[in-house]
Order: sequence, then C-alpha cells, then structure tokens
Amino acid sequence: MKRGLIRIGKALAAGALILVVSASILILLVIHWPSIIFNTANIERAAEYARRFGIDLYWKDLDASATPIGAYRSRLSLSFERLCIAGPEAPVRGCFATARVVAIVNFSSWPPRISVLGPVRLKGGSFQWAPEEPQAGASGQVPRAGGEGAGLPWGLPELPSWVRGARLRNIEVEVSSLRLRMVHEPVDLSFRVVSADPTGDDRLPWEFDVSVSGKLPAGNIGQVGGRLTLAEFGRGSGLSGRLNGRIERAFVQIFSEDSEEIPPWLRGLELRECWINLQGTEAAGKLLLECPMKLDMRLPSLKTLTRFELPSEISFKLSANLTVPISLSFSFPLEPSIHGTVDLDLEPIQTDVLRTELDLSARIEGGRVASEVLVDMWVPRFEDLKRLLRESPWAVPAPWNVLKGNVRVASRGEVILAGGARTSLSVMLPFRVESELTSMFQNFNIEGDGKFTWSIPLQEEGPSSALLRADVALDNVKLALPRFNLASAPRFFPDPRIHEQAKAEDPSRADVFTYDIRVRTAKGGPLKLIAGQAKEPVPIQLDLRFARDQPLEGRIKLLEFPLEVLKRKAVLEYASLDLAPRVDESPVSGSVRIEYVDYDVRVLLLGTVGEPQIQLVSEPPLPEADLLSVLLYGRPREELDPEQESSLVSARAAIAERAIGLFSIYVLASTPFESVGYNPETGTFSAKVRLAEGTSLTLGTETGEAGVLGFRKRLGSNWAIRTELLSPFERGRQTISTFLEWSKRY
Amino acid sequence: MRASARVMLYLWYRECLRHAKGHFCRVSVLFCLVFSGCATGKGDVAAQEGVLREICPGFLIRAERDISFSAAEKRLICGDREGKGPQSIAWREIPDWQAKYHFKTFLEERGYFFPEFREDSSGRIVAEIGPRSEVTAVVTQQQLLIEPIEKRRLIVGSVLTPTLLNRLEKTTVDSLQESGYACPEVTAEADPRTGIVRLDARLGQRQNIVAVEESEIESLEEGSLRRYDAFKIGETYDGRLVTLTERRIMNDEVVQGAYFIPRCEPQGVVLRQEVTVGPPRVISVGFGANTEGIVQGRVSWRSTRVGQRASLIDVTLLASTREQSLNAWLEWYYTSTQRWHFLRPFAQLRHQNERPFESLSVRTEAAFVTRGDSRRLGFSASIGPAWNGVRTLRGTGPPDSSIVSLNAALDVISHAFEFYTTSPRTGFRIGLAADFSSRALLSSVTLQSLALNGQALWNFRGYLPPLWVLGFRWSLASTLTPEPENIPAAYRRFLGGTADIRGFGRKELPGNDIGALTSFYADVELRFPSLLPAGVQPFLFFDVGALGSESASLDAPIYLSPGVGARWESPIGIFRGTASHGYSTSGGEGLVNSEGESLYHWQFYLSFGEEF
Repeated sequence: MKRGLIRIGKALAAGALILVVSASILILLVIHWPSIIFNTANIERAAEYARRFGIDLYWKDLDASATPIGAYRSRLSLSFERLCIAGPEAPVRGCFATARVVAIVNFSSWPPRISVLGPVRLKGGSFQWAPEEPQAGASGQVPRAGGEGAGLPWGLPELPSWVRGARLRNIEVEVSSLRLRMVHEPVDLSFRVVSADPTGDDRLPWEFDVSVSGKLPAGNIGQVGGRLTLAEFGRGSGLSGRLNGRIERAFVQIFSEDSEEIPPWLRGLELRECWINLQGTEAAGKLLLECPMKLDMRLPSLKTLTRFELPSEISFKLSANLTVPISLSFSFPLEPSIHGTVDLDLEPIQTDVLRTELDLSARIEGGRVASEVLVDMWVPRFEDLKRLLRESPWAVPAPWNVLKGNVRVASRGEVILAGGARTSLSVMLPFRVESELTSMFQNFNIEGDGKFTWSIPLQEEGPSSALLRADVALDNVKLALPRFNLASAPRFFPDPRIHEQAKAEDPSRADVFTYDIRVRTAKGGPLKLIAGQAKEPVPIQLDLRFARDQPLEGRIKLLEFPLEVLKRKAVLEYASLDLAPRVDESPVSGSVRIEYVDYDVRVLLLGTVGEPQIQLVSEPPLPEADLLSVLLYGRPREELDPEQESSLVSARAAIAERAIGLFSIYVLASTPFESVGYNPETGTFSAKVRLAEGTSLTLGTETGEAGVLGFRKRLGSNWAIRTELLSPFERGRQTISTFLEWSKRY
Repeated sequence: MRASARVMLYLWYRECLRHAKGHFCRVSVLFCLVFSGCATGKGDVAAQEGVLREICPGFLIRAERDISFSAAEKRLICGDREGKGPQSIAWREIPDWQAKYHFKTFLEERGYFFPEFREDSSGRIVAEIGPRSEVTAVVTQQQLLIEPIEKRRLIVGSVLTPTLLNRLEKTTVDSLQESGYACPEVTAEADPRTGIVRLDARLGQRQNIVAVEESEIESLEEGSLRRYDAFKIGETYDGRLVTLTERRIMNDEVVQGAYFIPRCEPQGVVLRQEVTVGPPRVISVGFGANTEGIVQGRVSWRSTRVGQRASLIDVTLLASTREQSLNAWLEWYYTSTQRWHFLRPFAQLRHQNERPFESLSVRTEAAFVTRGDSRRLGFSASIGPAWNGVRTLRGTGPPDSSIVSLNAALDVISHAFEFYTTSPRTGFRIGLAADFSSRALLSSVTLQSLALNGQALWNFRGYLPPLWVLGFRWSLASTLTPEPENIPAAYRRFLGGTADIRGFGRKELPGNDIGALTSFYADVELRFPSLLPAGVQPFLFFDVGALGSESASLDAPIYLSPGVGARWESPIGIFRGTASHGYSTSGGEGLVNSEGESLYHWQFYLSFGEEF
C-alpha cells in the first residue's frame, strides 16, 4: 500500500516536472519565437472570436510578425491592408486603408502586458458612426438639434489591464472621412491624431496633436486643431487640451433645426486657445472649458440703417465647469446629473452709435440652467442714433427727434432654463433706463427702473407670457406740443370705439403680454408742456399707472401758471384729475383766478370728466349770472346786447347741465368766441369761435336734425328765424309761417 | 354729371316737349341740374378713379375723391416747416411712420380705415387710401329696440366715422328719453372690417316726472311759466315734451332763456328749471317773401312780463303788397291758480288789397282763452265778443259794415306736429272757428261763419330721418246768412294760392269778384326729404277744391291742381317753390275770370318762410 502510494507520488512529481519543463520550454519558445502565437492564423481566430460579441473585424491582407528583443520582451508588428470593422456592436464602421501597429510585449509578468505601443500608423480611414435611431418621444416630438440619442462618445472605454501603463510612441491616426449621423443630416469630418512628442515621456498621460476639419450641412469646420492630453483610460480617464481653429457657420446647426434659418451674416466662430478638459469618473465626467471665441458676423449693410457701421466681429469667452454623465449627450431637457457653471463674457461692442457690454454666467444644476445676464447699452450721442434710424421704421418720433444727449439701458437679470416635466425658459431682466436729452427748448431727462419677465414653455404648445414692470421718473422733462388751434384740433388718437373685432382664439394658447408701467414726475420738477395757447410752459405733475386690461390709474395735476382767459390775464392756481376706473367718472378739480378792477373772480372746476361742473365765485360776491357776464364779456348783464345775452343763457345752460366738456372749457377760455349756443334737446354745446380775421368755426355742433327744429333758431348777432303756429290776428291760417327776424331786448 | 345721366335727361326733355309747354320742360331740366348737384361736375370728379394728389412734397395720396386736410393735420403729416417758434422747431421733421400714423388717424375721421402705403421711385410716400367703410348693420341689446334700428335711416349704408357713432348715440339717447329713460348712457362700437355697429346702453329705470324745481324769477310769481308745460308731473318722462316746453317759453320770449335739467332720483325725475330772465321788452323786425305778396314785413313790439304773472302785450305791424295790418293784444293772466286761462283783448286795423276786392277794417275782440295739454296733444279754446267794422273800397258788398259777433275757436295740435314745426313730418292739427252775428245784436248783417280746417302729416314707416312724408290739409268753411248781398267782400270766400289750391293764382277762384259763401279744399302732398343732397326736398302734390255760391253747399266745377315742387331747409330759413297747373272738371274753356282771361295755366310759386 505504502509502496503503491510512493509510486503514485513519484509519477505525479515526474508529471509535474514534465509539465514545468514543457511550459518553460513553451515559454522559451514563445519568447524566442513569438510568431508561433502572434501569427496570421491566430489573429484571424481572434477576429473570429470577436464576432461572437457582434464586432466584425476583417482585412484584406495581414502581415504579422513577432521578434524577441530581450529575455522577456517581444516586438510585435501587425501590418494590415484595408483593416475594417463592422458588426452590430461595433462603435464605428469603416476601414483604414493601411494599418500598422507595433507593440512591445513584456512577458515578465502574468499575464503579459504591452509595455510600449507604437509606432501606430492608421491611415486612409473611412468610417461611419451612427448611434441608435432616436425614438420619437411619448409626445411624438422630434428631438431637437443635439437632442436625445445624439450623444457624443467622449466617455472612453476602460482599457484592459494588459495595456494599461503602456508607453506610447509615434502614433498617427488619419481618418480622411468620418461620417457622423448625429442629427438629421450627416456630418462629415476628417481628423488626424499624431502623438505630440515621440521623444518625451511616453507613458500616460498621452498627448496628441489633433486637427479636425469637416463639412456640416450648414457650414464647415475648418482646421480646428490643438493638443489633447489623454490622462488615462478607463477608471479616472480624462482628456484635456487646447484647441485653435475656426468653425464656419456650423455652430448654428447646434441651435437651429432648420438650416434655412441660418442667417447669411453668420460667418464663423473662431477658437483661440480654447482649453478643454474632460475628466471621467465612475459615473460622470468633468468638463472644464476656457474658450475665447470670436464670432465672425460680417453683417451686410442694412438698407434701413445706411449710416450704421455694424461690428464685423464679436469676441467673447466661454468658460465652463461642468459635471456631466460619462456618456455625454446634448439631450434636451438637460440630464439632471449635469451641473456646473458656464460663463460667457462678451467683449464690449464699440460703435459710433451704440456701446454694449454683455456678460452671461450660467449655473446648471438638476437639469436647470440658471443664467445671470448683465447687459449694458449706452447711446453716447442720441443725435447719432436719431440720424441712424432716420430712414428706418424705428425713426425717433417728433418732438423727441430734435433732442441731443445720451441714453443708457442697463440690465442685470437671469435667464432660467428649467427642465423636468414642464420645460420652460424664463427670462427675468431687471433693468434701468436713463436719459439726458436736451434741445434748445426741450428736455427729456428720465430715470426708470423695471423688470421684464418672460416665460416660454419649450416642450408643450402652451402660450408664452411676458410681463413688463417699470417705474419711470420724469426728472426734467419739457416737451413741445404741435401747433394747432384748439378750436380745430386734429385728432391725435384713433377712436377707440372703432376697431376690428379680435379673432376668436383659444385664450389658453394665446401669448400674453402684460405691462404695468408707472410714469411719474420726480419731486424735483414737473413735466412742462409748451403749448401755443399758454404763454409759458404748462407745469404738470403726474403719477400714472398704465397696465394691460386695467384702466389708467393715477393723478394729473396742473400747477400754477399764468394764462390768458377770455383775453384777460389770469392764473391757473391748480387743476387736478384723479383717474377713476371709468374716465368719465374721474373727479376733477381746479381753480382759475382772474383779477378785475373791482372783483377777484375764481372759476372753480368740480365734478367729473364726464360731467364737469363750473362754479363761479367772486370777492365781493356777485350773482352767478352777473359773474358769468363779467367773465365772458367783461361787462355787467345790463350792458349786453341780445345776442350776448343769449350766449350768456346758453353758457349758463351748458354749465348748469354739465354739457361743456373739459376740452370745450379750455377752448372757451383760451379762444376768442363770438357766441355760445346750447341745444338742450340733444345736450349739445356749441361755441362759434373766431379762427382768424373773417373766418369762424362752430365748435361742438352736431350736424343733423336737432339743429333746425327750434321755434326760434338763432343765426347770429340779433338774427333768428321765428316760426309761428298760432296767431291771434290770423285766425284760420293754414300755413306755418317763418320770418327771418332781427330782435332786440331792452 | 355722368354721361348716362345726361343722356337720360336729354331723352326726358325731348319727351317732355311733346306733351307740355317748353318753358315747363326747361324749368324742370334747370331744376334737376341745380338741385341734383350734378351741375357742379362732382360726378365727373368721382368718376376719375385713383387720382394722385399731393398733400405735401413727399406725401401723396391716391383717392377717388378729393380729401382735404386742415393746416394742423398737414403739419402733423408733413412737418411744421413754416413756423419759427419752439413748437415748430420740435415738430419740423415727422418720421415716415409717425406721418403714416397721423394720416391713418385723420383718415379714420373720414371713414377710411385700411390705407396702404408704398414708396414711389422718387422715394415719396404714396398712400392708397383704400375703400371707405360703411355701416352694414347695427346690432343692439333688446332694451334699445324701443325705436327699431331699421328705422334709423342713413345709418346702415353710411360711411362709418366717429361722427356717425356720435349721431347714433345721440339719436338713441333721444329716443330713450322720449320713452321715459331720462338718464340713459349709450355707447356705440364698430368694426370697420365688417361694418357692424354695436350699441350698448345703461338704461336706468323708466321714470315719472316727480317735481319741477324753479329758480326764482325776479318780479314774477312762482310757477308763472308752468302754463307752457307740455308735460305733466306724475306722468312718464318724455324728453321731447320737456324740450317743447322750453320752446314755448322761448317763443313767447317771456324770458331770455329757459331750460330744464333732468335729474334722476330714486323716486323719479326731477326737472330743474333754469331761467335767464333778460330785459322784459322785445322789439323785432322780420320778413318773409313769396311771389304772392312779394315781401312780407313784420315789426313788433312786445312786453313779455306785465304784472307778476307774466302777462303779455304785443303790438305788431304786418305788411305785404296785398295786406297791411296793425295788431295789438294783451294776454292777461288774471289768476294764479288757473294759469292756463287768460283774457285776450285784441285790436286790429287792417287793409287788404286782393285781386277781387280791397277793404279797410277795424276789429276789436275780447276773448277768454284756455289752453291745455294731454300726453299727446295740446289744445287752445277761446270765446268772446268782437266788433268788426269793414269799409269795402273795391269789390262786392256794402261800402260799410259793422259786425258785432260772438267768436269761438278751438285748435288742437298734436305734440308731434308742434315739435316738428320747422321740419314738418308727423302729427296733426285741427282748427275750428265760428263767428255768430245778427242784426238783432248791433250788426249790419246777420251771418254765421263756420270754418273747420286741419292738417295731418305721416312719416312713412317712421323713418328717421324721414324717407317720404305724406301730408294732407283740408278746410271746409261756410258763411251762413240770409242776406248774402250784404256780406262784405272780406267775409267772402275765394280760393287759389299757396295756402289752398296751388295751380291757381292767389284768390283767383271762382274767377269773379263776388266770391263764394262756401269753400272746400283738400291738398295732398308727398315729399321726399332724403332724395336729393343739400337738404333739397322735392315733392309732388295734388290739390282739390270747390266753391259754393250758397251757404253750406258746393257748386261745380271741382278745381284740380297737380304739381311738383321743392323745399329747401336753408341755413336762413325755408325756401319753397311749386309748379302746378290748374284744371277744372268743367274743362279749360269755362275757366275764365271776369275779364275773360283764361285761368287754365301753369302757376309758379316761390316763397321764403312758408310751409305746407
């Protein structure tokens, strides 16, 4: 038994020895004659094995050689003619015309490792890269440019352990054609990667000089080149580098689905020392970007702005510090895992007319992009802007178009791109407006603060809503009104009663623009209006609030100023209007003081806009009719002729019945008039006023029937048409008789 | 005038010459040319489509008709290039868009809402003003259908302008106030694309008049003016009656001015009466004219506030080539409690120089008069003794007559007739007058004179303004006397003239100087107030009349008078012209006057200040 055991032990030992010896011999054979493994047949077998994983590697011709170069190292050399990759699992599909890969394998450890890789010469590459076809979303939407499914393969695969730590020498990869089917249209690129310094440290991180050029549907990428550093493959892998180059119009495709929308003036985007760093971790990568760019616009001269020299380029710097998923994709909305900051610094645009600064800083977190925007626009010479816009549809209107000075608009706000179920773009821009404009007779100095908010749903077909809030202080404003006679004042605004009916549309889908603007005079000074009817500018204090779908609110107050009332010197002590929801119901109040030799007359304005009420008071007190006589004609009633007495009656009637509108009151007060009429039947007040020597105009009279219906129709001074129905001295008369009559009361 | 219209007029003229005298046809053609406005050639201008006109250098408009802009409007379109002040400097340059804005606003006042602008080869703005917007329909809430919108003529089809909306609002307010809504608020909105106008109103409540607040009138009793009231306290408010009251006061010139202000209180409408008293005496000189009397002059003196109850004294001298009279009377309001009763002493010296006779008469009368109003009409009744002394200078009858009589009269006038006195269109009036005298009561002749006359107007379908106005007037008068030979000429009855049968000359019928004791006529007139522009209203008429040599009987023939005419509401009064031909049922041969002249002829009348 014991002997049997010993025999078995001996046999096993001998077998082991034989195995060790055989293995050693085999290793020695492989070390010294590596071609017994690295030969064409075995490589073809390996390619056959790869097909099981959906990757089809094939070539036209292969020359493989293996040469021992040391005790434990062999130099492998593979030369392919037309090396191709295909198959459903292949990341790309295509071929290199020639491929030569040299590697030094180190057998001193197990498993053997590649210690040196290179030279690698991959030339004449022609590939296609097509990600899985994007699936239409549940809503049936077509993904936007750079949308889901168009992810870029920047997340590099983890390298097998036998190649980690390999030194890299003399790499040259030349792909003359890489067709990327990223969006709807294919993108054709060519690139060349050359290891940066074959004589330097050939361990990782590897540095490559990269140049990329290509043709995009909307433009070209022309010679974007730089040095990229590949820190490490696999866990903790990363890519960084500096890029220089120029992208011609291609960038627009990123933002625009329809290439036809690309404006022709967008010429290119130039990168200057654009530093990019991609660092991968287990679940995410880190994108660091510091990228000065120059936007080449080469704007054509605008027909409407012939004098405006547009800037040909805009320089800005794009900086980013983003944490992104390992498989970065420009999906929209942004993946929640993306977070970080993006900054855009725009170099100031300096033109003769406009100086602009723009700064944008975005913070991305949880699929939400919150951008802080700083905009500063300054028009140093308003007259230049006026001249520039003169022939355009945005010409500065009169009377502002004679002003000179500067205008500044500054805004510091935020733009928020919110993801999630309700993707929307929200713009919130607080702003400040300042102007210092002046001319020989006018001033327009204002200061205003406000905020513009705009919310746009991006994925749903909902309405956008915008709100403009502003508080504008009129600091020193004096403006001239156009010349016109109050008696024949032209209409300045369309009649609000006549308008086209709004087409019925779904209110829930209609875009909404609301505004809430407060305009007020600053405490320092009132608004002054130069009007022909007043000898001095009319000082006005106002505090008004304009809001959409809201009646005008606020108060307008005329301050004391001298004026001429009915050819006499007077002082408007005050006049104010407090706007009510219905303008007609807005209370008015005012006082005009007119000094006579014997009296101090005050015309008090009370009531509402719709029904203004005039009260006459005097010191010492006089009856109202006498007061009105003094006021209108400058003499007591006893001295009036019948026509003047009649006018007095009409004026009293119109005043008492509140038929004189505010405007008519002012017209009456400021215009020489011949007579005043009042038709109680229609409540129509009329005044015949003198326009110029020999011409007159009747105000307020409605053409129509009512004017000729009275028994006694006044024609002018002392003249009237009298109609008689019954007469005691013409009994039985059938016809109605009228007489043209002159009369006088005494 | 369009060429086609010229051809039509020429063909009508040729046809006219075959059937009528040449001067009638020529007058008719002249009438058409003058009153249709075609003589101005406006039609030719309108026919030129799209004429390019310059508003100012650099701004042209293409329009079918000339559109004028005021100087101020031009300054806002073209810039203020003439002035030198601050305003002119500030508004010297108007940018194109601003000029277009102003231009569009100004066009809206003229009914153009869709102008289009382009630039011509010289860089000038050319505005194609486009079509005018017209009102296609007026929609309103049910409550406003008091007066159907369909009856508002000249709204649908009219050019849509702010002025038109104002007019629509006002006429709607008027019609609501006539229906008891004293304080309505009416707003009109319009869509220029569809031409649809929408009327909305806050009606308030239909209310009764609950009180009249009077301001004190110096030297007059309170309530002195209540005798003019066409409305009644306690009845539904009617703005038209309130206006009528104001007119009555003004027409009597009791005060210089008077008006009522309605105030809507929860319990009803309170009318506040405001009065400007004015001096009490009025002197006036007036005139009218017609081809019968050439010129009618009138001079009057009136004291309007005699005593505390505002009694009236009036002295009037009336003169024309046919008649002159001096009249004086007093309206004496003798009691404060019954303000609608008064006594009216009256005296008249009168000279008549008519074709059949000439007379001089003195008449005195003292009448008791009462007036009153119901909701729809007013009446006036009088009765009193009178003495009339007549000297016949020429014509039939005794040289001198002295007639003492008891006179009575009743006049009923609908408020509608009274309201539209100066633009007659609707309503009626009826007058009844009777004189009773007897030899037994100091008269030189026994006679009873009775006269019933009236007038009625019908506005076809109640359109506003009227489309057709159909008018009737009639009179039946007879002098009952057993001694017709002693009747003075002035009491005899004649026909012919603008007042009755317009196809004959004034008092031309019955063709002799004897006249008749009984007369009757009935006139019908169809007027077309809106047919022609400029307020010219053509009309057709047909007058029928008859006379009777006996009391209370009419003899053959019957006189007929068809004709045409035109009425013009000029700014200074009413002008009327008629052309008619007199016929009789006995034929033209028997229609001669006492001199053997034929009465079968065309008769033309032109008058200023007379109505149908």
